[in-house]
Amino acid sequence: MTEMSEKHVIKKRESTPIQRFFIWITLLTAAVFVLNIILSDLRADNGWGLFYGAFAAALLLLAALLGVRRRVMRFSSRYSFFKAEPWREFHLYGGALFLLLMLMHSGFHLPTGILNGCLFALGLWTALSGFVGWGLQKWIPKMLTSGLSIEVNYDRIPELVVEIRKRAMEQISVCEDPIRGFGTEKVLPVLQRPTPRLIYFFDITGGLSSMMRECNYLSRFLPADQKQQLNNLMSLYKTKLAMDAHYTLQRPLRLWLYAHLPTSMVLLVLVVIHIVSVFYF
Amino acid sequence: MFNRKTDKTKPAPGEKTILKEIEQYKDRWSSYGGNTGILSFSEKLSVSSLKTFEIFQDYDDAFLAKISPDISVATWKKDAILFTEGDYVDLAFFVVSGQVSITFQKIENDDTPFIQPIFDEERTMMMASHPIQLAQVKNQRLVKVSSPEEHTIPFLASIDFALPKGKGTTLGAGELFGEIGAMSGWPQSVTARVAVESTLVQIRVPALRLMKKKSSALKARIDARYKERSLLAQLKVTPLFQNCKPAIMDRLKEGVDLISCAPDEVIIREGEVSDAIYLVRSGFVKLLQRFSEGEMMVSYLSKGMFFGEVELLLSELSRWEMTAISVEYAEIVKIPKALFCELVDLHPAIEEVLWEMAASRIKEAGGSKRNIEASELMETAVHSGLVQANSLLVMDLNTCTRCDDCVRACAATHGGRARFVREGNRYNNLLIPKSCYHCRDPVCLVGCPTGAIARTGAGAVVAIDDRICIGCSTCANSCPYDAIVMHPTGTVWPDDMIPTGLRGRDRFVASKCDLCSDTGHAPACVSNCPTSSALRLHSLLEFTALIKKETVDP
Repeated sequence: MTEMSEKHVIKKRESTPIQRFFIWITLLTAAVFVLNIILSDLRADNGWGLFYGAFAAALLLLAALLGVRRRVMRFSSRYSFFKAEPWREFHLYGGALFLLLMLMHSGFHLPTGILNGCLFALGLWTALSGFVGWGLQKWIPKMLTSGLSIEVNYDRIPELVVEIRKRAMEQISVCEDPIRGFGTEKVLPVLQRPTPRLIYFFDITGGLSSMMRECNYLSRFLPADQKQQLNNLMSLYKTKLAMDAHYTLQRPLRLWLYAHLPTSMVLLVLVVIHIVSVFYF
Repeated sequence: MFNRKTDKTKPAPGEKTILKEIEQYKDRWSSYGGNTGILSFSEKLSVSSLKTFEIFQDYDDAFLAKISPDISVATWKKDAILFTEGDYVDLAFFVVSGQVSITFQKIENDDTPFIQPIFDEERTMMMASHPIQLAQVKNQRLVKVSSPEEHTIPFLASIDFALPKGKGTTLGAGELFGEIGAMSGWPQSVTARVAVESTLVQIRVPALRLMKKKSSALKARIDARYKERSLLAQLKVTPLFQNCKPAIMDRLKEGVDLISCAPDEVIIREGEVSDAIYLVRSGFVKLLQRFSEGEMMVSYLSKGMFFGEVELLLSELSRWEMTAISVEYAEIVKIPKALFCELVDLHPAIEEVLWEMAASRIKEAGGSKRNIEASELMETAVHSGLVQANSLLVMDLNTCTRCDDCVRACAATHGGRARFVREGNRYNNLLIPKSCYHCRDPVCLVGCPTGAIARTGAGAVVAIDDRICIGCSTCANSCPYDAIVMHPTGTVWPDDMIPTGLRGRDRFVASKCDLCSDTGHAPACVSNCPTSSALRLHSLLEFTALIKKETVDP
């Protein structure tokens, strides 16, 4: 079997059509921008500027379709809407290009007026919060996978912690001192509820080693059967810490959306108002 | 048995109520044959009643009392169908009186005998050394499926009978049939129809296994039938014996021993005298070698694989270099050393293939000892059932953003009820969620009283028909991987429900992944994953390759 897997050919990840499309479109946009600098001023209200603005608005609308797709999964599974990954890629690269086009549209100047100012600020915020989310999605999964041996569903963590606490209490109730004292004073307080802690961003074990040192010291004085009881208790403790790590690190993966989605919705509405006002006035 | 493999068999809306459909299956015994032809039926027979049948006469009273719950007697009317080709049946039939006609009809206009290999290439590819297999593996690429129908599996027919297509045979009083498929967990290869009104003893697998173990006479009888009906045909399509002369094949057929192993039974032990080469007929066998203070798993074998060739070829090795243990119920063909030497003398080409296999095995064993990770993977694969998988849902936790779109998409596709949870075994960075593996040998199909759980068409998909599931939990209890769950429907069985035991009770249905086969698209969990972290793999090879990639190029 070992030899077989060596022979087995794995399809290498190549650049995707969406990536290639955006590389070309970005190069094309850069070429247009260079021409713009050579031939005309950088202004929002000339033909060049309108082109950047219209293109940015179109990209924004198309990028927003990822969210629509997620809300119509029932249909996307039954009809050929392509896989979700190309949609996400389009969202990501489209969002990046949107930011660039928005800056080109404004002539790389801070805009004047309330609406334009809001548009600029929201555009910047939406794009940057998107990049932050993308970074979190790259960084946190790797952190969770490399340092923790368990995988747990975020929504189930509270109920699982209750279960762990229940088991720990059962375990402690059949123990005698010093394990009972150790469990009551040191272990049970940690098992109260899911506890998000910043330390998990820097140390995925959540300071387990210091607790283990104490536990190992205590273990030296215990007979074999009590050692086993202590090990069982510590096993529950470790599982709880791992769940806390998941609770802490999976949380930003969900929370960043609250920084991204509402502003992008408002941005969309403002863009529509902006377009209408431009054509109306 | 109820055949629901194509939509054509489904009733038009309103044509049949659920009640009427289930009415056909009065209980778990009479479900066989769609209950269209049972004239009389009796179960929980007394010891004295059992003793009136020839097949039970060798057994003592205590034993018969023990197996009695798994035995029934039914009188079937003429033309009743006992089972059709492809059905999974968990019992054997013993003809007390009457006649049963056996036919094979699926492929017409072809007069060659039906020989469907259980030792198919897909399986033998697992064996590293075979040159053909290597060529195939080289051409494989790890790709994601775009449609569940793209990947079909070899049909593992039991070959109870090697019959010419469209032709048949007739079995009379004193004949036993269906036992090969039942004991191996394979689908039936033929259709059995009652030719004249007949009385049949129906013996479920647990009783059959006990009977075979207790009575050497019955074992000899079942083995003789297997040799007579199936073995030769199977050996002929085994790559190793494909070019052998008929005479030597006949010698082989007569000279082999058939061994039935219970789970965790030691087949050969390291250090004991080697005396044969073994071929796995069904089930899985793991090979272990002493390593420091314990034993390390160095390889595993599934249907169609051999072990013992190293000791046979190297004359210096007179004792087993490995211990072989069955992982679950396994059927083994033992070819004695003398007979095999005779075979090799006549066909030197076989020896060449065996040398390659042996070299690969030695390398593999050495590799496992040097690379603990490989051994661990093998052990995980065997014990968590990955070796069984036709369609394995795997998630790369390094890229999974835990957005749960996979679960939501699954629920959205299946009426709000997700068919898997994003939890399960982990291996390195890969999560194997609790989702149906669509096993090569699906034990969940065995014993379903209504035939609600079945393979869809000839593909790999094992699906449940909600309309005829009576929520008995047989499949959920049979699944070794907890991939089937019972869901309350929020309704109660009606008062005129048959079986009567269900009346007034809460109605449950079994629920499991069906690969979104009715959508005509890739499984929703895979197509809706925004980071392509969810993959469907079709063999352990692909899983291993994925692991390797991560090891080499993280």
